[in-house]
Amino acid sequence: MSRVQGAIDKSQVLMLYRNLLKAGNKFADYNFREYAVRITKEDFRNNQNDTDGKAVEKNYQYGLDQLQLMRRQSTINQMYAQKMSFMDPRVSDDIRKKDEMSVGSRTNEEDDEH
Amino acid sequence: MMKRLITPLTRVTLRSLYSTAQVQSKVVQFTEPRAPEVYKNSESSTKAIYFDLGATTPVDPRVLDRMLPLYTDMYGNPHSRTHEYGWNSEAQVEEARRHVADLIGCTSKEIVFTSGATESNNTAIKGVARFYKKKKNHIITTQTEHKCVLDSCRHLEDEGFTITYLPVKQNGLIDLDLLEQEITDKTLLVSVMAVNNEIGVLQPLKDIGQLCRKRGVLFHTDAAQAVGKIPVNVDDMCIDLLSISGHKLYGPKGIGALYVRKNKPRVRLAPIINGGGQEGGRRSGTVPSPLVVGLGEACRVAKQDLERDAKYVKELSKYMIEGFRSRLDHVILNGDEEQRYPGIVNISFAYVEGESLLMALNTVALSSGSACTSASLEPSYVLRALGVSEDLAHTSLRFGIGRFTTKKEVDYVLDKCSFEVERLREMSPLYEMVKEGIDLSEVKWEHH
Ligand SMILES: Cc1ncc(COP(=O)(O)O)c(C=O)c1O
Repeated sequence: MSRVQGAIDKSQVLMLYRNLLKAGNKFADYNFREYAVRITKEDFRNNQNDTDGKAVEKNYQYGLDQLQLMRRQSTINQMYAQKMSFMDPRVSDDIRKKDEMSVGSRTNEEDDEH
Repeated sequence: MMKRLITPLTRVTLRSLYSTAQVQSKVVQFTEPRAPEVYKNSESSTKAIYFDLGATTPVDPRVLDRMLPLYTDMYGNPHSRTHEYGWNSEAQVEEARRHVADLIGCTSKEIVFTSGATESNNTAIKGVARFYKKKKNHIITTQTEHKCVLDSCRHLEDEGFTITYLPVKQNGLIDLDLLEQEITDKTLLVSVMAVNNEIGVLQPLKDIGQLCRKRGVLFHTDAAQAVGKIPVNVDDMCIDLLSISGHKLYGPKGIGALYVRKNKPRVRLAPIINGGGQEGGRRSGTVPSPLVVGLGEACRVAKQDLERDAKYVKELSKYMIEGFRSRLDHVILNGDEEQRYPGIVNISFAYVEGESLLMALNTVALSSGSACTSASLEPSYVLRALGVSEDLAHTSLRFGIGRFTTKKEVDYVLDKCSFEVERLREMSPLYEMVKEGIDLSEVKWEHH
């Protein structure tokens, strides 16, 4: 990364990057988690050669706001999470096999309510 | 009598879901107490991979983050004029209106909030028809529109309007020459959807818009599946009315918008919901400020990320289509190859019953058509309008790809679906004959 001018230095940017990834990884939902990590990496990669102090400052501020948002939303996401996605890497192979076998969750004859 | 089929996921059972290597990871710590249970008839421990984005999209966390304060704190009625509760809500609603307007290139005054694309379509079609009925009484639409457009038109037939239901070509697109031929001096409105919800084809909006403008006919488009995913500009495309749905672009359900052109031409409509005169008298009823703010934020995010999302969805879509084609023979992509929104992929897996395939794919959330028609076993009217045979129409599945879809999910669905297709084909006598080189169209069947 080239030298950042203005008030924001490289270590602050790196810290923000790490914190964003950490917050993104706290989503209970597999898809939100993967998305948060993907776009954080993408954004930082795209902006890593920014030398314009104003732009760096603006992006830094944007990143800080996103960090707050991700912390709030990942907390809420955890509070209401009920099941993990089948694709979630934290789901064991055994559970995955079992779920692939389980059929009949679409039609349930014992339930006469609709 | 109702058997409880699910054990609530406690910390302990959740732990047991983790593969051993990751047990120690502190990535997720579900907080006690548990939230209210939402799964009713579920036997699986995990939730299926979501590939039904044409039916609805998840609410983006950025959207929920903007909505929550309006539920927990700023609950004022945006029409209250005498206190801060109302003023704040109103300010939020107006900011949201600007975001919606910015996304499609119009002014705030031209946006009417509704309960969804269904209401927007009803308001646009019935509202315009009833307002101008003394002058003109002919409406042109297509056979592949969403049910809410077709049904609105049917009701107008009862009111004495003449409706032309244009056929589409085999690729799902309309024939512009045919459209031009159908326009008469009695034609008031042309309503053609942007992106088809079942097959994803994108109609030539700009050509249609220019034709309508030239002939002095209003142009409405149901852009529920397009807005926020592909660039839409009402001026470039000569659009006079346009319908938006919140829950198709990562916003909340129960909210939508209708764009109504104010200038050149000024479009007037007779409201279908009457009351307190909100939304400039075009749609009465208290504006649901949390939902509106959600829609606004969804539009803001969509505009900001349009390029990124479009590129990502396009790549995954290409990967999926090529993946199926390389793994299986006799797979047919329904609708035009190029003129499409790539996030809706409708594929026929010949010689396989779509319903059986859906059953086998229980770890993937999918549909065999649009959400509203999949309850019936009738083949999709959209596919039939393309001239897809009934047999083939029964073998089709619709895959939705969006900003939250991962490549790993596509890999899984490619492998799993291909495996199940092959398994089901092994049991199919028809497929057996095809493999032996018998041309099924030449076969004379005993009965029919
Ligand atoms: C093309 C199209 N139009 C209209 C609708 C209805 O939208 P809503 O659910 O917002 O009423 C849908 C969604 O089902 C759609 O895909």
